[in-house]
Amino acid sequence: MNLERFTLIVESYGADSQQWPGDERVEALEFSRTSSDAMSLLDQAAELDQHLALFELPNSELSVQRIEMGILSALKQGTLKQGRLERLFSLV
Amino acid sequence: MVEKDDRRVVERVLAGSESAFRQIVDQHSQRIFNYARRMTRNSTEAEDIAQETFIRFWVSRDRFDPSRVKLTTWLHRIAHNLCIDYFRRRQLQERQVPVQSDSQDSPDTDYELSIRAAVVNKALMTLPERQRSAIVLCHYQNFSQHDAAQILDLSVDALESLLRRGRSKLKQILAKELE
Repeated sequence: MNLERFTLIVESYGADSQQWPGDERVEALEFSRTSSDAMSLLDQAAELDQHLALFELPNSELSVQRIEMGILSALKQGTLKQGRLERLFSLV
Repeated sequence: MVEKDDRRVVERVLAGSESAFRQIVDQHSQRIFNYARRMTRNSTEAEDIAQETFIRFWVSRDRFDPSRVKLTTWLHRIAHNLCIDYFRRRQLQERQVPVQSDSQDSPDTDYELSIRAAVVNKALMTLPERQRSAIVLCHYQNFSQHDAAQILDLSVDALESLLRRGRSKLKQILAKELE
């Protein structure tokens, strides 16, 4: 691990090490404890992470119920036969 | 690739079991709805996208190969493509009938966001779609970089580049808006 790669990781994934690439996490964590530049990068990234955490979604129980009921209703009507709708969609 | 607990359910879905499909809808609908909602910032559109995601998954289930991709990754990939379709449709509509800037985003009216949260929300919406998708998938949906790259059909390097540019732009916007 070097400062260049550590910078790229933190600028991409933020300050939470759980979000970092799994195969580099341990090395990156060790590096962060020994470099003052790394610590400063973590502080800056943590600030943005805190802002991102503000974007919480409100309760959506009713929306989820509507989604599930819509799908159930389509199943009951028998309109979801495999292959039947494929022609209408550009599928993944 | 399929999580251990999902394996039997997926096998049953692939064999055409409606009850197994309902189980998958039950397990994944909240997460798919959240992704669509964060991408569109519109509950009604997000509900439609989530519903369509599962319908497409069901009618084209023979295209899903559980040995190559996780179920949740596959569902998010379908939802992501539907979000892109939604943005294209909206751009076309806006070209035909110019929309007032206040209603362009059709934001949720039930959001009770603090001013700071509203600024963050708005800043996210100003990012290009691919940068926003990358941040939503990694930061909010908690996908690993490998899975997020698979959903967006990108290399991990390209995903990192999107994330870095997206976060940098957000930082600039928020520094200006929140000072």
